[in-house]
Amino acid sequence: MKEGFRQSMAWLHTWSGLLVCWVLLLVFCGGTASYYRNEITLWMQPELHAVAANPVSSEVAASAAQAAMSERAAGATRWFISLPDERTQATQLGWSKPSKPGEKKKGRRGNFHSEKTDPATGEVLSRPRDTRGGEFLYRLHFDLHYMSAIWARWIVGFCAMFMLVSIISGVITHKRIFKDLFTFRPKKGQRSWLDAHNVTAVLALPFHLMITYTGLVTLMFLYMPSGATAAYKGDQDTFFAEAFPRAPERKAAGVAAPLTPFAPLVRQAERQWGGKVERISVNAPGDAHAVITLSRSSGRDMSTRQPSMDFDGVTGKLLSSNGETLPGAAATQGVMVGLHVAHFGGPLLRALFFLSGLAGCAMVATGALLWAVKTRQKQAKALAAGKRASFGLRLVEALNIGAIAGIPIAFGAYFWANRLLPVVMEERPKEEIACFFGAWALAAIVAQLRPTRAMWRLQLTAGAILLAGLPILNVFTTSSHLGVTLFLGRGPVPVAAFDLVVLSLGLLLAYAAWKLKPLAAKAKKAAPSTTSSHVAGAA
Amino acid sequence: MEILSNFLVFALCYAGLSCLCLAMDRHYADLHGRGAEPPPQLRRRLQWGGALALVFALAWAMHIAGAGHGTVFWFGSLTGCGLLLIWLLPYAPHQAMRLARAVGVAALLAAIVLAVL
Repeated sequence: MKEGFRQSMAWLHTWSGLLVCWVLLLVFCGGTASYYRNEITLWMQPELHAVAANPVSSEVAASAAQAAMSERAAGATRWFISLPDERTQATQLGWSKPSKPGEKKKGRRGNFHSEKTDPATGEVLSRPRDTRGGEFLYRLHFDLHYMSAIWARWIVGFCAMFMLVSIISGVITHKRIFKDLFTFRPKKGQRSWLDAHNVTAVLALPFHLMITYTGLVTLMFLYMPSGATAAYKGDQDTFFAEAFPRAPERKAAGVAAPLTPFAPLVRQAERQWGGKVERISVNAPGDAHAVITLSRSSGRDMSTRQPSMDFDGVTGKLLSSNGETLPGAAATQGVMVGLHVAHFGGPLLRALFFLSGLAGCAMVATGALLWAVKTRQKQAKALAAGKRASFGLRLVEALNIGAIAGIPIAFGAYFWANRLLPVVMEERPKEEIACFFGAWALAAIVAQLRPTRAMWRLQLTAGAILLAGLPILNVFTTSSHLGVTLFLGRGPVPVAAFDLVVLSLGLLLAYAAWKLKPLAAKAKKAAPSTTSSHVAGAA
Repeated sequence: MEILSNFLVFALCYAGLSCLCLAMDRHYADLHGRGAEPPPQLRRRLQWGGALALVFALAWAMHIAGAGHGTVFWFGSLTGCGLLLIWLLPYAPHQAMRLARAVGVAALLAAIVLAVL
C-alpha cells in the first residue's frame, strides 16, 4: 500500500458511498416513512377517520369477526383475521376462495378478498378509497417499483452492502470521532457540510449499523443461500421446515362440521402468553379437520417470530403450541428482523427510530453534497477561469438535486394525488403511484437540464409547498383536518400527527430554500451549494 | 408515572452529554470566551459526572423497559439528545447549557419522586 491505511479507507468511503447514495436515499426515506406505515395508510383513507377510538377486547372483536366471516366467507379454504390494536382501529378480514376448475389462476392474490370491519359489530366499514397507502412506501424501500421484486432486492441488497462498507470505512477514516462528537460549525461552507455529515452519522451510528446489517439479514436467504443449499443439497423446503419449525398442515376431511367459537380460545391463549392475540387464521373452516391458529402480537419482546397456538376447529382442543422456545439461530434472526422493523416499540421508541431514520437520510444527503462541494472546490481555479464544471461534477450535482430535493417532491405528489384524484376511480392505487414517479421523474430530468443553485431553490420550494400544503389541502378535501383533529381534539391522533410532521418537514425544506437566496453579486462565482445547516435533513 | 420514567432517561442523557461536551476545550471556550480552558479539577468532575449520568440513564432504561428494549431506548435517546444539543450549541450555547442545568435538576427531582413513590 502506497498510502496510509486511513487514506485508503477514505478513498473507499468516498466511492462506496457516492456510487449508491441516491438509491440509498430513496431506501432510507421509504424505510423511515415505513415506521408509520399504518398511520400513513389511515391518513390516506379519510373515510375511516370517523371510526377510530372505541377499543374493544380481543374476545369481543374475535366473536364479531367470526360471525361476519361465517356469513360472508362461507366456502373459503382459509380465513385470515387481524384483530385491532393500538395502531389499527379496524378488524381486517381476509379469505381465499378455491379457484373454480378450469378458471385461470389470477396471480398470487387472485382469489383473495379482504375488507375492513367495525371491531365491535363486524359490519363492513364505509368503503374507503382504494389506495396502497403506507404499504407502497414500505414495499418501495426494498422492492422498488416497476421491476421484478427479486431484481429490486438484489439491487437494494447491493446498495446496502456498499452502505455497510461505507459505514465501517467511514468510522475508520474519521480521525476525531470523539473529539468532534459535538462539533457543528455553521456558515463555513465545506467545513459545515463535513460537520453535518459527521454529526448525523456518528450520533445515530448504532442505528445506522443496526439498520444496514439487519436489513441485509431480513433478506439473507436470498443474498446468501449457499450455506443452506450446501447443507440441505438444494432442498429449501426441508431447510425452512427444520430452521423454523411449524406444525404440519392437516388436510380437509371433506365432512362439514360447525366451527367452535373463537372467544374461549382467545382467552386461553392470552392467559398463557400474557400478551394480546393479533392474528387468527383458520384452515378449512367448516370442515371436520379445521385448524384455528392464533398468533401473539409483537411487543412483548423484539422478535418478529411470535409464538402461535393451533386449536382443533371443531372441538377447540389445543393441538400444538409453537415458537415459545426457538432454537438459537431462529431466535437471533427473529430479533434482528424485529429490530429492523421495530414493531415492538411503543410510540416513544417508534418516534426515536423515526428520528434516527431522518438522521440517516440527512447523513446520505450530506455525504452526497459533500462530494460535490469538495470537487467544486478542487475545480475552483478552472471554474474561475471560465471553464465548465467537469462531466462528473455536473452529473453528481444534477443527481443530488433530483434525489435530495426530488424525493420530497415525489412523496408530496403521492399524498396530494391521494386527496385530489376522484375518490371512485379505476386502478386508483396505480394512478397515485404514477403521480409519485411522474413528479420525481420530472424533478430529476429538469435537474439534469439545469443543475444550478436556482434549481435547488426551485425544487426545495416545490417540495416545501407540497408537504407543508398537505394540512391546508386537508381542510378542503376532508373533514378530519387539523382544525378538527387538533384544536377540537376529536380526530384520530395519528392523522393529526401526520399533518404536523409533514408540516414541519415542509417548513424545514422552506428554510433550506430560503438559505439558498440568490448570492450577492460579489459572491456569484462561489459554489452553488455552500449553505450550512443540515438542510438536507428534510429529505 | 411512565412519562416521568421516560423523562428521566432523556434528562440524564441530555445532562450527561452536556457535561461531557463542556469538558472539552473547544466547547468550554464557546461558553467562556476564546482560549478559555476548564480547570483540570472541573474537567475531571464534568467527565465523571457526565459518564455517570449516561450510565445511570442506561441502568434506568433497562430497569423500566427490560434489558433489550432498554438498550434500544437508551441509544435512541442518546441520538435524540445529542442532535438537540449539537443543534443548539452553535446558535445558542448559553441556552443549551442553561437547559442542561435545568434538566439535570429536573432529573434529580424526578429520581427522588420515583424513588419515594
